[in-house]
Amino acid sequence: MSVYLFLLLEFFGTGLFAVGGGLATIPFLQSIGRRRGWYTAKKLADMIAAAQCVPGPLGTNLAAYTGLTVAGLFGAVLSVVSLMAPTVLVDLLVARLMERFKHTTRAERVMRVLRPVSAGLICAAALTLLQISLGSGAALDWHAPLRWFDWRCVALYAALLPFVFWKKTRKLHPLCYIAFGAAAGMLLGV
Amino acid sequence: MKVCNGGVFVKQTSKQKLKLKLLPKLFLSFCKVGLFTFGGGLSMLPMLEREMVARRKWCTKAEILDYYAVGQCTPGIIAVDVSSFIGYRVCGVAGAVAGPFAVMLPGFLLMLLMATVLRGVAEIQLVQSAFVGIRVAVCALITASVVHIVRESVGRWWQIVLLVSSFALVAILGINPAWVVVGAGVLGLFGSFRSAPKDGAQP
Repeated sequence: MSVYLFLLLEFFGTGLFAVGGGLATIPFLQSIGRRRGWYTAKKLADMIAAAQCVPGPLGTNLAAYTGLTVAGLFGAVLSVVSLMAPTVLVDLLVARLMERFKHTTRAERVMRVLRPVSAGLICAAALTLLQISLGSGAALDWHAPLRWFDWRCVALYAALLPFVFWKKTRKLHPLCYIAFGAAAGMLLGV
Repeated sequence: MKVCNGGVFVKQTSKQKLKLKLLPKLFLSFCKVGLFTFGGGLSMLPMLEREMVARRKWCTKAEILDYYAVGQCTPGIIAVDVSSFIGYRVCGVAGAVAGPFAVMLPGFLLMLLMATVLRGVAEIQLVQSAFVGIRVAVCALITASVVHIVRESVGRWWQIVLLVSSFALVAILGINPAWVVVGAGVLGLFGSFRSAPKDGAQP
């Protein structure tokens, strides 16, 4: 029972504090995993990869998978609903107060601070993801940090980077990249 | 945040009861949008345009862009914001609730299916190898999005200070991101961050 209550609270908080797209929920999910011990950072990286393979908003997909992992089907429903609840409530309020909201510069001023802060959180989450995805899975040994990287993964990452930035290929369907990654992973036998 | 004038959020009148008839159509339309977008958020825009503007004529593209702008200022993920604003526009409160539910429903069901399948095959060596590669590919995709987000959110030097300090607070000190956001919100409310460069205090 208490698991459901905690799920509700954690995802309500995530919905309330994550500002931006689905990626903005990742730092919160990492924090939840660390504090509650429901899943490891590596398991979360797998869930993110799986959520990217499925259509729909990344944030709700991730919440569904996380909830399912922690507390089964009901957990999945509960997590997604708790994630969306604060957003929908605030949006209803905003839609009604829109006329007034529009004329205040206060919201804009707050956003000028919140946007870079949220970007910083996303950077931190991305760094953790990089460590997990490019590492050999063991804990990072600060005395020999270079040995810790899995060089096949680093090479694949370096090979893919130009394509996600290059004008002609960056609009490629994400599934193309995912399929390529899967094929490369199987070939390299990592 | 730029919001066009001219009734972005139309006042709901007694017409709302008539509009409720549109609810099933709204639900189906959002299911379609949810089913055909990958990555969520901004990648939803072309599909929303096709479905909500061209096909159903429920709103204009300018309005959708306004919803994105406002959605960026409200808590929660942008896909939920935009779908609940459009839902509100079309069917009032019921639409505001139905929109986000419909947009996440296909992904939700497929996610459950995928999780079940993955649980069955997770032990196979080839699947594990594939996932190592997929994780790397996802990392590359996320790197591109992160660079985009950083560029969008940083314009002045104090914003760079904010970005670096929030990164450090979470990545190095391991502070709960919620506190960082609350701190930043308070800072934004009471600090005087005008568009002219000023002191960038830590959150």
